[in-house]
Parts: sequence; C-alpha cells; structure tokens
Amino acid sequence: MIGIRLGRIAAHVLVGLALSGCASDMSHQNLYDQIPGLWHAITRPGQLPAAPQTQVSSQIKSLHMTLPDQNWSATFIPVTRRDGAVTWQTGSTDAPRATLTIRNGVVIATRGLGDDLMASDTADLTRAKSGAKSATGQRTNRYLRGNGDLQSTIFICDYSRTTEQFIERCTGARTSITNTYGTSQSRQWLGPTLGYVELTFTDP
Amino acid sequence: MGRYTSGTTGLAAAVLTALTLAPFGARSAQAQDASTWTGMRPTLNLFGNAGLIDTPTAHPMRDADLSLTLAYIASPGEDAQDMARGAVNFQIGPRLSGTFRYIVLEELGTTSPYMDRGFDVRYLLAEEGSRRPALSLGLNDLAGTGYYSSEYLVASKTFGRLRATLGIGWGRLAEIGGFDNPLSALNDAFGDRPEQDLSGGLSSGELDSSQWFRGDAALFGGVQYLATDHLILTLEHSSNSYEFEQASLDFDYKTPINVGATWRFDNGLDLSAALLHGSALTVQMNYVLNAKTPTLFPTGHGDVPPALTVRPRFSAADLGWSLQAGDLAQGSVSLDAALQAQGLELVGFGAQGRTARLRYRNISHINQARALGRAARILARHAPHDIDTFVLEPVTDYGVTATRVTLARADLEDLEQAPDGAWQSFARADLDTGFDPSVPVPFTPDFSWHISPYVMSALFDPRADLRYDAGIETGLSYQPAPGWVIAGSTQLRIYDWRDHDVSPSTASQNVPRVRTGAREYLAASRFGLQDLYVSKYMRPGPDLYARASLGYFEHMYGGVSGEVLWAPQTSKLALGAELNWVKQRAFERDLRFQDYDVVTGHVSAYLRSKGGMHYQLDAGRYLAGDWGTTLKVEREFANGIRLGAFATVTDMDTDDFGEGSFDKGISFDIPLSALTGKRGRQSIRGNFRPILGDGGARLTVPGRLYDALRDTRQGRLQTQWGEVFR
Repeated sequence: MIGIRLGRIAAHVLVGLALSGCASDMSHQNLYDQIPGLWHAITRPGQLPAAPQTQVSSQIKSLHMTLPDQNWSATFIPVTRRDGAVTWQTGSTDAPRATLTIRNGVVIATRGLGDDLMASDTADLTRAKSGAKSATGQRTNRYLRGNGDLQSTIFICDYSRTTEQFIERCTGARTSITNTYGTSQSRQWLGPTLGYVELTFTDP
Repeated sequence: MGRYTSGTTGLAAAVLTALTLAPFGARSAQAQDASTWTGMRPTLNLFGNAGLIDTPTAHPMRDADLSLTLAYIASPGEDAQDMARGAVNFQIGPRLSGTFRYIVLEELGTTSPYMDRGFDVRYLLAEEGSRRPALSLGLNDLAGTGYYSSEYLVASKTFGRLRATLGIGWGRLAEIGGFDNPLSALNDAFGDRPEQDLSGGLSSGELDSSQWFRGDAALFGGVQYLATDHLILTLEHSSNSYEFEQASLDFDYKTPINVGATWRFDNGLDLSAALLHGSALTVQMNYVLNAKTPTLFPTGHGDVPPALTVRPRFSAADLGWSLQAGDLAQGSVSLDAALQAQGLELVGFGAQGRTARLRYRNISHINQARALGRAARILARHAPHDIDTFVLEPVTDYGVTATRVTLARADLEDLEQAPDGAWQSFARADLDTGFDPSVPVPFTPDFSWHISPYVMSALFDPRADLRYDAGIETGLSYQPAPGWVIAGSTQLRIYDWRDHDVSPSTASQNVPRVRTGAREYLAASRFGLQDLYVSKYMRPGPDLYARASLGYFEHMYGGVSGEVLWAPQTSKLALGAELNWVKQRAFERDLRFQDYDVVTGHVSAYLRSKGGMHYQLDAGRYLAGDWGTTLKVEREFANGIRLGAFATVTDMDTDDFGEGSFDKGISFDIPLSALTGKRGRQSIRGNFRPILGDGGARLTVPGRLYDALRDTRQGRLQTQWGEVFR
C-alpha cells in the first residue's frame, strides 16, 4: 500500500520534471535544457556530459585535450593571449563550453569542466623549466569548495629533465602526482575530480 | 516558473526527487582514512535523526547536510501492523539541527491511514575532544501530536573503529528501565510528567513545554563498529519500549536490544536493515546531500564566460570620436543575441559620449554578480573602442532595479586575469542605487508567454492523505513601460487522483474558512484563472520602493494591494509595510467573488545575516481577521539552495485553528543547476505545512518587493562579487 503510494508520488514528481512546454522567452525553456542534464546526471553521475564537436581548420594551431578518467575529449583553439598566457576555447565564440589557460605549456586555469582548476601558482615550475638550477619547488592549486570559497592545495615538487621531457613530481597532503611536459605533448593533473589531462598541440 | 508543488505540499515529493537524484550525493570523503570514523558522518536512526536505531547519538551531521530518511518497519504476525516513516533533517548550523518527520500508521486511522507529523530539534553542546565525548541535547516531537515526545542528553565517544554512545532520556525514551528523574533534585515538579492528551485532536500541535524533561528518566546507549569503510554494525539498548505501538498496533515487543547494519555508498546513500526489539524487521534508506556542495561539479560545466576582448593600445579612441546614437542601433541586434547566448535578456541600451549603459535581465544565472560579469564582457565585445565606461543595471523579473554598477573598461581589462581580480574590480567599481529620475530610462517593452504542464500535490491534508492534480498551465506577462506589469495565468486540470473522498473539515465554524476551502477550489471547476493583475512599481527615493497592484492575485483572493519597502543599499536590514483589501474568489476560479472580504496587512522586518541566514518578521492582520506575527528563518547558499522554517502565532484560539494549533512549516528552494551543474534558474520549491488551517494565513501576492529585489541589492551583489569573472 505504502509502496504503491510512494511509487505514484515518484511518478508524478518525475513527470512534472520531465515535461516542459513552449515559451516565448528563455526562462521556461531553461527547464528543457535541464532535462538532458538531469538524465545524464542520474544515469552517469560523476561523468562530464559529452564534449562539443568543434570543427577546427587545419590552418590554425589547435590543441587536442583528453581527460582519460572522464572519458572526455575536445579540440580547443586559441582565443586570447594576455601576459604570456594563452586561453584556449572549445565551443562557440558567444557560448564557449570550456576553456584552458596555458602559460609556457603549463595549465594554470580551466573553466567549464565542472570542478575547475580556478587558478594555479606555478612560478617555481616556470623558473625550473626555463633552466634555473633549483630542483625543488612548490605548486599551489586553487579549487572552488563549500559556499563559493577558494581552497588551496599545496604540493611540494621536485623537477627533473630527460632529453624529451620535463618531469614534475609533486607530493601533497593526500595525493602524489607526476606531470610530464614535452614539446608538443604533456600530461598534467587538474584535480581530484578530473584527474589527469593529456594535451597534444598541433601546428598548422 | 518552477511550480511543481503548491498549497499544502508533499514531503514525499522532495524525498522521492532526492531518491531519483541520489547519484548527485554529497561529496564523500574520498581520501579518508578507512580505519577510523574520522570524517565519516553519523548514521541516522529510524526517526531520521543522527543515531543508532531507535535512539540518538551525540555527533552532529556536517554543517548544511540535508538528510532524507525513508524507513519501513515490518511487524510479523497476523495482527501486527507495519509502519512507515519519512523524515528530513537539516543541519542548520554546526551545532543546531532540525528534523521534520512523518510517520504513517496504516490501520490507526478510520478511513485512511493516520499520518503523524512532528518536529525535532537538537543542539551540540560539546564537540568530541581527545578526552571528552561529544555531547548533545535534543527534543523530539515538538508541536506535533505528542505520540513520540521525548527529550534526551546524549554523549558519544570514538575509539578507533568503535563508537560508543550513552544517553539519558525522558518521555518516550524512558519507557523501560526508568528511574526517578535526577532533575527532581532541582525542583519537585520534574518528578511527574503531565498527562498528555493523545487524542490527536484539537489540542495537538501546540508547543507543550510543560512536559519537557519531566517524569522518569532512563538510560539508553549502544555501540557502532566500522567493519569496513562501507559497513557499519550497530548494537543498541533502547529505552523506548514502543508502548503506544504495543497497545494500538499489536507490536510484538520482545527485548530492548536492537541490532542492525548499514551499508554506506560513496554518493551519500546509506542502506540499513535492523532487527527491532526482537520481532520487527526494518529497512531504511538514507540520502544525504550537502547544501554547500551538492554535486561533484561545483563550478558547473558548459557555462564559460566569453573571452574578454581587450582593446588594442592605440585605437580609435585616440582620434577623439564620440559615439552617436545611430552607431549603436545597428550594433544592438547582435548584442541581443550575444546576451541571449549567455542567459541574459536585453532590456535597454543607450550611450552618451564615452559611456555605454546596459540594462539586462538575468534569466539563467543563480549568481547575479556572475551575470553582471557576463554582461560586461559582452558589452566589451560589442562597444566601439572609444567607450571607456560601462554602466550596468540588472533588472529583475518585475522590472524593478536596485543597483547600478559603473565600471571603467580599462579596469575590466586589467583585472580579468589577475589572481585577486574580482575583489580589486569591486574596489574600483562604483555601485549606487541608480536612482536618477532625470535620466530617461532605456526600456524595451517586454511581452512573454508560456504553456506548460503542471503538477500540484497535497500530502498533509488531514482529511485525505494524498491527492494530486496535473494539467496544462498558461501564462502571460506584459511590461509595456518601466515599472508596469500586466500578467495572468490559467490552469486546466486534466488528471487528478485522490486516495479518499473528502470528509468534513475539523476547522471550527467560528472562523472564516480562508484557507481550508482548498479542495472546493480544486473540485468546482476544471479550468481556472489563477491570477490576473496589473502592478506598478515605483521608486519614490533612492532607498525607497513602492508597489500598487490590482486584480486577482491568487486562486482564492483578489482585490487591491499596496506596499512600500525601505531597503538602503548596503544595509543588512530592510523594513516594509503592506496593506491589502481582498475578497474571496468564487470556487469556480472565474471572475466572480464570494461575500467574504477582509483588510489584511503587515509590517515586516527583513534581516540578512552572516552565514547566509535570512530572517523575516511580519506582524499584522491575516486573512481570517486574526492578528499575529510570523517568523521565518532561512539559510541560503551560494549555489542558490534555500532551506527555511516558519511559524505563525496569532490571537486565533487554537481550538478554532483546528488540528495543529498554529501555522508552521518548512520551506525549500533547490535550483536544478545546483544539482546538475548546468546553468539555469528553474528550481524545485515549495512549502510543507503539517496541517493547513485558517489561522495565520497570509495573502499570496505576486511580485512582492523584497523578494523581487533581494538578489540585486548592493549588499548582496557585494557578497557575490567573487564570481564576477567566472
């Protein structure tokens, strides 16, 4: 008896959520947009929704990015350059789906990936990459937690170099990561939810 | 918008929504040390509180945890009756938590199952320390029928994988093993617990503090063992001997010992089973959502700010051109499209010299500062290079504006990628009230409509346990000039389901049936005009707002309404006053009225406090002509989730109010974007009232000033400013 009642309640709640209607403006159509999001989140929680398919001309430099833990990949194109940092974007100009900000091959911020790296302080890494003598340094990653607060995660890192790659090995309070930077490829850790990102730069 | 429940609405609706959304779950302690309790939230007992099986434990849930409990108790034996329980617990702050609970006793009622409703509160007196146990104090079944009344003081201590609890209880938690109340040493009166009127009738629902901590006391306790990082085993000695259930439901009570096991998933879901008092088998599902971080994707996905177009260093600006109005008219077509792509709507656009002014409506961002940042970026992309100042005015749904933000374009460009850019930009921005009667307001008349299905449910009607309606709803809204709104909506019921027929109301004949006529309104006609009104919003002064409305405001009442609000920009406090004259509408929900009319009005104080707490105090005259006060307390989170509770006390006799004695309930507003990570302002919202009575009933008026302005007041924008570049 109670089971049937609860079943009916569930049905009417879901029906209420699933149906949308027609509207002249966005405020009601937003519900329509939320349905695929809800469905995706129920059936595949912890997974980013599918990446946009961006057509990229072979005339320009592009970046192919993969998140192996999320089974997600997309192609990015550069859109702005400020203070030596290039912002790469996937999606349309007016409504980008995700961006990566990269300075000297190091990802310093992401947007639109769900649990973004909000900012990253990688001054030590930059110095080490450009040939400074020191073999150790520190990295600070910032993420959004709680009620809009930024939380810092600090890693102690050591650096080494092979003929093809620069390797950054870092240890934090809960995680150890290894980032590798090559001439046109790199593998970097973005955060606890996204895991590692693999980047491949393609020149025109 | 977002009207999935209304009137006396269903706890189960939210609970079941949570069931289907269980995968969103609370962020689990992914890197926790699995061999101890550190970082693990407590288990919930059969009453929905942090506890073992019957009894409570002392550790609190995490701050802002919203916990849902569904439990089923199956009694063996032919005559024994099963019980079902549901509860919502919210950890209001680090120490205080409240629970709203309902218990369904199938065969206790006459024609329909009896549904017992109640509230519990508990307070953490001391956190667990290296030597000291955690200590909590709690009161169960306040303002309910009193079947489950109890009070307790409980201590819990952790020893590696083991957690031990010992407590002392009164009332239902002292049914066996009772001893003389230790508090009698303070006052003899504590020795006896006053007889409680359990008839469930007119006296129930009152806050009967005269019983608290009185009568015999008893000890309860138990241990929990963390067998693996997903399995928790529980052993309990309960001082609740289910006397009431033994008498009325043939509960077979064999032993005070209960045993149980809980399997904890990583996404906030717990499944438990227990053997209750040696005879009944219980199954329980708990789902915990943390309102601060409800999903694994706190920054959302797919909603990225467009890149800021930075002007080249030497540009047309240096030639000293100034902008002509004609230049902008062409530009504004693509401006409108660009705003739409970012979830904003163009309301008005103008320019004078080197300043561009944009008025926009935020359709889909929860965070108003973020919407402002997006609007600024779009303006940067479309405005000619010689514009160096942006003036942005967010306009709310009813055409009201509260704040005007003036930004230098150069500051935007400099600070967009600076580490502390958001706060520096706030320091350089100029926020004011935008009150400038001499400046003409750029405005585009707005006409919008929608047709959508609706569902409405009523679960806690004492006269019929579950009913719901579904149908088609249409709405229109027209804003012909600044400050004017003409709107209306209708409902056509297509399907309805009722468990049992209507039986006579328990409400007294002494008071007008201002709200208890709810089902007559639903039954009289399939098609109804929900509302049709015209409102004018005014700003008599920089901190002063006013509204005048005429028409049919809600399905039960129509008339005239006037309101003023004094809301200084940076103040946490706002004060308002409202006066209405309304007539009760015909049950058919057409254009006619019934005879009853009333003058209602309130003075209100609104306070926004730290931690996202909002307080609202209203005092005045309610729909039945009773005078009284309402207090509403609500906690709001950065992601837009709002959870609150309210209570109204009036001079209406509690007997006349009926079962429940006074109006009380909980409110919730959970944006879908907080659950999916996808941008949008649709939300699941409603109020739960255990009982709908005629006392303390307030008129529903669309577009009340404080609600319309709340998000765009300067103080609020300031709190949210950290998001402006996101």
